[in-house]
Amino acid sequence: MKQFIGRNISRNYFSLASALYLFAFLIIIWLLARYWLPPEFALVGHDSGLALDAKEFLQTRFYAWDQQGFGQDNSAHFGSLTLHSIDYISSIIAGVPYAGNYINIFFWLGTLFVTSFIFASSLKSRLGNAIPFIFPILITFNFFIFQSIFILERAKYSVFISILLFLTITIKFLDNKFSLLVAAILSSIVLFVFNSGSWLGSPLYASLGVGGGTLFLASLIEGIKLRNFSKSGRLLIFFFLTVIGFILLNSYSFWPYFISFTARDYLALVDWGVITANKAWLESMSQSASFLNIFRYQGIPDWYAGSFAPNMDHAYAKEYLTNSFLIISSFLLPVFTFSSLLLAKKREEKRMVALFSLMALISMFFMAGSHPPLGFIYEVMYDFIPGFSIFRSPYFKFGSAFILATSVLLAFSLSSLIILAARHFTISLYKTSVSILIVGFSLIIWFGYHHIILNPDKIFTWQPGLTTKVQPPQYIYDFKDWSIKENVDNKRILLLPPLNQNWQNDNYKWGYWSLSTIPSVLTPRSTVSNDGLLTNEEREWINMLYGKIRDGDEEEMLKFSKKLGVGYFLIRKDVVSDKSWSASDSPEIYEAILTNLPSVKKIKAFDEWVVYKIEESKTSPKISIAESLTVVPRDHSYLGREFLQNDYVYLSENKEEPVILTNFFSKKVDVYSCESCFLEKRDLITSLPGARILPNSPLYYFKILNEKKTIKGTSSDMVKADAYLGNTLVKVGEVKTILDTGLEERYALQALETANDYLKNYYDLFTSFLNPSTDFDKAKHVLDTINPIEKYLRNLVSSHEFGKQSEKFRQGTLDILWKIYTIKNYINPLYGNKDILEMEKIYYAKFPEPGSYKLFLNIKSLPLGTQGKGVLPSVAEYTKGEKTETIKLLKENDGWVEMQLPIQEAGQIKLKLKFKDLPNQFELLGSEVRQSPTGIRACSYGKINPFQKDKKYNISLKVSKKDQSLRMFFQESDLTRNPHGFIRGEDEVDIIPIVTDEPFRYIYQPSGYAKESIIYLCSGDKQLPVFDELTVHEIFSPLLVSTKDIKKPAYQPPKISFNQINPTKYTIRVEGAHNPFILYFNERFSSFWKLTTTSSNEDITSNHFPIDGYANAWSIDKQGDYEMILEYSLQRYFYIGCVITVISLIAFLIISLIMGIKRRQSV
Amino acid sequence: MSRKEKLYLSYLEFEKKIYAWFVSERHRIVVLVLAVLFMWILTFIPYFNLLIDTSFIVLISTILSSILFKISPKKIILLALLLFFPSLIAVLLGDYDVAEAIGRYIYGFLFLGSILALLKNKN
Repeated sequence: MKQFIGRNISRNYFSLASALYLFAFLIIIWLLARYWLPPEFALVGHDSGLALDAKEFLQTRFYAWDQQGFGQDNSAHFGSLTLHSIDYISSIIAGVPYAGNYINIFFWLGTLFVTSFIFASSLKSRLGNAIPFIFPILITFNFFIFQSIFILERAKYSVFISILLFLTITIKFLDNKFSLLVAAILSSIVLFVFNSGSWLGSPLYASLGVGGGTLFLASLIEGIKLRNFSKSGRLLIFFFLTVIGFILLNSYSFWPYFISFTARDYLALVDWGVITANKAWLESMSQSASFLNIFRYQGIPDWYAGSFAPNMDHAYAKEYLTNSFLIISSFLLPVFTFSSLLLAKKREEKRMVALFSLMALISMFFMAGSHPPLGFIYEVMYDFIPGFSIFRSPYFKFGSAFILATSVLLAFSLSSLIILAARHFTISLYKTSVSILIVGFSLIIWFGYHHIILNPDKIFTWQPGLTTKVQPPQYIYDFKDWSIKENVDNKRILLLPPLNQNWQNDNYKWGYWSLSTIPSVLTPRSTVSNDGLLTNEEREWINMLYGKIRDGDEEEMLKFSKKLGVGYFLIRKDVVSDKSWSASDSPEIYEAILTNLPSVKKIKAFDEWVVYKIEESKTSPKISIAESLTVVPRDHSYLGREFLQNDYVYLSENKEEPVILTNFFSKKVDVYSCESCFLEKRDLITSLPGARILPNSPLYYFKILNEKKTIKGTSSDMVKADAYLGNTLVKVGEVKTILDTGLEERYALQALETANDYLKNYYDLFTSFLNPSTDFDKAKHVLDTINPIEKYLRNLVSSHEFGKQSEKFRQGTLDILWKIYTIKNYINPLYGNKDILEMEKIYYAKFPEPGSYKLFLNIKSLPLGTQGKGVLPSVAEYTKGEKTETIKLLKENDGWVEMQLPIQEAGQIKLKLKFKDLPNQFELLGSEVRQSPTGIRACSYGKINPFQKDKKYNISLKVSKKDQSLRMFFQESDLTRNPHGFIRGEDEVDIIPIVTDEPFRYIYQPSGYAKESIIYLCSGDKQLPVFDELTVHEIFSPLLVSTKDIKKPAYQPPKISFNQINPTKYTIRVEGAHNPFILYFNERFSSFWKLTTTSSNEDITSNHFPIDGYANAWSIDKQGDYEMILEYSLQRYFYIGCVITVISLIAFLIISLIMGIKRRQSV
Repeated sequence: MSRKEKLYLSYLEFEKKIYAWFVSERHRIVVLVLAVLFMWILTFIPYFNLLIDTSFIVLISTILSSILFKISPKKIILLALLLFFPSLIAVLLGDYDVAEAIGRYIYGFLFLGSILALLKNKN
């Protein structure tokens, strides 16, 4: 066919045909784009990042700091300037303000089509002239591309385009049509223009890596065959130069991000906790990505609700996964695709087809992620290769290479089919007609299979009833114009009503749904809500403000608004507030409250959006002076909000504070934990760990070596004892596995012997550091470890199997049990009496210096009484040295009870809170006979009252009748969840053993979704259970806090005025600074905010610290009148990077030009 | 010669060819059988059986066969393509686990076929 076309179609004719073909398809794409998204509609919402005002949004991308919310680092997003510039240009052409317009869709699909044509044209000499006319259609119209059309995923399309052009350049370079330098320059420019947007989108380059990697692998295979690796070497140098060129051209975005990445993001990337947390996501993304599904162009995570089941909420997945005709069609696709390996006849054809087949199969390995059978390799890479964890959505990141490679193969198969068919005809007109017919028929089949992508109602729908295709109302733009014009001092605008607490989404009646609020993608002014961009601290502050507004507490509301820099409230009456799954509160509630507050005035209404303003005098500027600080322990930052006066919260880290700061301390808050409460908790370890490497393994030697190394490497007796105890647990776990797997007894004996040695060594050490009357936490740690050992060995001893073991084994087991007994006996004073632990809470408080300390008890941390109020301690005892006194409970205020401290001296005290009147929270309701899987059971039942799902309960059951079989069921949901009538509980426990002298105890922890809890105590027959008493007590650990007022020296703060140059730069004027002072800057804390002098550009102070848990503060010692510059330092790297980018671009263009001229001259 | 006799003769001819093939390839067959047996034995040995399972043996045997008997990559690819049909039937019958297992073999065979195609492609 190639020869046939080559003979019959001249080069000019091919060019003409290409131009006509491209023109026709661009027109088709244009029409489709208009059909999908008529001009009056916009694509917005979900996580599209498509701005409602493309121009305003583009402007924010020029700065390393984004002022939305409490401000956030923007340095990762400079690369998206290209994408957002295209957004803006498309919005101008379309004559609309929003980025999600039909021109934008046309641009990306059209560019993808044209570049795929360019790529395919580079293959036509090898794979046939028909390839350029088939390949672009396959690449552009498929589910991989259209899966994300509803968010117009420009970054994905952009990288896909760059992969196509990069491979084109690489092929031409390998064909010696481009010199090394020109090829590297061209590919760098391609990757500069078509980048992944933000650097956070860099995982999208994975497909580029697979493409380049496959080419390199193929060159290596060829090298092995020819024993000549020059091609591989050239390729490596080309890749290296491309990377250098890429970095140079992308300097404007690379350097700012590189600096912040090395300082911050890198730690998150290699953080084991983050990697583990993302593993669940990786697994869910990979659950349906089997090789078979990927072969069939399926396995797209959104399509599935499990490994095979279709996601019923997806607009069209069910159709493709259940319709037999479409299933059969999906199987024909890979058969036809990989038939190309059989259809390739010529050497070059075979080479190229094998190469692209390999590329498809390598990308499949990655796309499948953690899915078996090779998923374990991916998991190892994910866990151990630093940075590989960024590929947590493998299907989407590696999919481009697969689609590209399989499209080449499919296009080649089709091309070969044309050759086979045309061979039967001698007249060229017939040959051409047959070729056109086959291509036409194939396209009909292709579009027939993908018919759903022509349906705009389906492709933009991402949930039943939710689409990204909406008509934005005009009033939101009116609000934007007002915010820019009127809110010149950039006071924060608080969104009301707050977003849905669970989903943190913004949802409007006219269709918008997204995790990004509309104002945040509409106006450059700072808007704030309880959205997902907030840090925990910011969220707590904002939620508190929302709470104060809801309460109508004007004074508190003003205090918090001032602190958070809020100057306006925006009530959005068009939000969805119909109590559906992601709905907000009703806006009317907030409107009614604000209308009644004298300090808040309604200043503007934009149809459904209404703006309220707080009186100017009751707001605070973004930069001010912090006159006093409340010191709060860092891990209890919430106390700052609880004990807040009019000052700021300084989070202390238990280290010596700088003297300059201590002068500003006005209050110190300390927290004391209930020591005895540790022993009330459930055992941390519930069963013995399974052993993976047993004594019969060749690897066992290394395990022993590691154990010895752990013990040897300990620094103190306490750590060494800990290592002995931990290893005892491991050894007994080993014994269990040996017995379970039926290995020879000598292995178990060996493990028992070592466990005995370890436990003996532990016993020798632990008495030296564990005080059996005060060290509750250490005792808990011991019990956590030895309880599972004891439980297992006791069961073993009481089993029939134990008698069959050798004497040595039995003796070894009993030795361990005896040692456990002696250890427990030693710590028995701490945990022996469970009732006392429940009723008496012990604290040890340390006062470093004398002062006016106050003690507060948090009522929320107390158990609820039957009236639903916290039960206060009946007695509070205070012990200092030998002296014990009773403390009075004073007034109750804002959820805290003050306790009168008799002594205000330095030193350690012991506090004991006694709760004598804890009510039994079990309310007996009745009895009934229930059917269970093991037969009929008669049950007494009752409920826990009051019940709180986030609490734990101590269940105590006294039984004096021994000969009964009892089981307890904790039923938290109604019976509708239970498909049959059997009694079933979310938690169940057998009352074994029944002993009469002490109650059976069980710690019950409700599930997260529990609304109430009904306890069924059932017998094993029709006779009702006989029991003396069932008590339920909440397990609680009262929070005790001390505050100490500190007298600080009087001082006159300097006057501050400032001017905002841009979001990253402020000039600050200081007048009358006679003493050190604290400068407060109400934006999210970042160490990249630098305070420098105007003259020398030197840092004014090195003491930069977070304040209120989120904002910036500096202690400044410089005196007099002067000016300072406050700057987000990453912005400078952007400017420097821009210069490098421009110089590199000019240099690259000049080099290319010179080399082009030289080449032309030489030709 | 009757049709029956002709059939019988052609059967004898076929049998001879098979026999001749067995004789000429006897060493390779023994190597393959021994290798498969060895891998099969490994599945009974603790720790080794964590890595070696049936699919692994099938994959290694195919690779080994293709090398020992110089099977052309096209035949391996053809086998892979033919396997799509039983997997289709399995999907239509709702037996997804079987279909997925066949899909793994298809992947392995195609990978092997592609590598061999690259290696055996004459320059």
